Amino acid sequence: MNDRFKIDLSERFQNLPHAPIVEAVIDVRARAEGAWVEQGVRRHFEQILSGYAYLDSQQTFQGEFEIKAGQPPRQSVRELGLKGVRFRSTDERHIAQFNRDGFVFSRLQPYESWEQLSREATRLWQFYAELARPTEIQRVGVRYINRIQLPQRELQFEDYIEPAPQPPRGLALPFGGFMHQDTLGVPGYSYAINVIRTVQIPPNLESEGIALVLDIDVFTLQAFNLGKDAIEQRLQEMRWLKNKVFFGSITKKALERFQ
Amino acid sequence: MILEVPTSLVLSQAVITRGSSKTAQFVAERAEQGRRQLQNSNAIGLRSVFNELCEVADECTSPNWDGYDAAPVSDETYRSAYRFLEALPVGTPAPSVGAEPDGHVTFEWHRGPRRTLSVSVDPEDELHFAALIGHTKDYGTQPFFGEIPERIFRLIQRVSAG
Repeated sequence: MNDRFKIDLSERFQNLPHAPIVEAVIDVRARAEGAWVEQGVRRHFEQILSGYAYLDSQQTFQGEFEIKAGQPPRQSVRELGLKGVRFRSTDERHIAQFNRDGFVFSRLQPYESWEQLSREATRLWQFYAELARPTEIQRVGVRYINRIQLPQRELQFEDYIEPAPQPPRGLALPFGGFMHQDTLGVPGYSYAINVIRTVQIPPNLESEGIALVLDIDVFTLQAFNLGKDAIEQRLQEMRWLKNKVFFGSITKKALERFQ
Repeated sequence: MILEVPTSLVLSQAVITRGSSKTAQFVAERAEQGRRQLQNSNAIGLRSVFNELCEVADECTSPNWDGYDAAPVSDETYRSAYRFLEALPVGTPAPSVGAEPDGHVTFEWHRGPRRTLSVSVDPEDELHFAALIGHTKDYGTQPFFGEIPERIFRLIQRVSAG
């Protein structure tokens, strides 16, 4: 069965005006070959990124907590240099991270369309590549995080996602939470998919309901040389996989709600 | 259910596509929590190796730490070595940790004179490896982007097998 697996880019998926997407991400990992110093990196993007404003710089820290017999505990933090800078669009719907180890583009709520996401990500990637001058791409990821807000006091997970979590056989206890992660291979292709299903429980259950999170992360770890077409083909295929996972994970009732 | 476990899938579970929203942060924390819980287990985790790395880094932060003009282990090298350990899939056999005169951190899987692998981490996020398995030698350099390169992970599996 697996030998016949084929990505079908001609397949069309239902358009959901109220899709529960809280974030869509395109993440390209590539090593910056040029210098990656905060001032220079920030200035470069400030000059060329119209419609975006500098958000923050991210440093890498490593915390340590050491306990030795007969001595008081010692806590220390090591600063490990610039990780990257983040810019946010003026309408606050996009966040771009320009990191030493790659570029990450996020579209926040409200989600618009794949075309808009991929077009803007590709445009900003070109700016990143100009400065970072990577020689090859090590990893590409397309991730869609869906957050399905359940009505208050409703805990019927099976009404929204399938397969829904089940308690152990013969022990029908109620769930206090769950975190389920699957990693799927894609035979014949260099992709893999991480699917996470979990619940987000609000601090105040009286005023807010529980949210179901369906997080679909399609990625490839096969390195390839730079080239616009090479990335675009992969993005299209990863999007198809993401859609198949999404529509294969939610129920008819949920689909109706997202119309 | 079909379970197929190519190396790339084993290696892929430690790193996720990065997000910016609160929900992305929530998912990352939950996933990390689960992973740390396993990594902290004495049976299948690498807790002792993280401790060993911390000790090695502390002992070798000054120049001439070996009395023979050795270079110090820099923060960058420590960071890379820490991330390398974090990226090892849960259940990977524990390596021993050491520092080299050039300031690199070395992880070694040694099962005998002819079943041994060392991976040396440098401050530029490069992994220099050398393995001897039977009569076969394999060595080279691979970039490190947060995931263990498949070639190195296969060597770890081969050295540790049996």
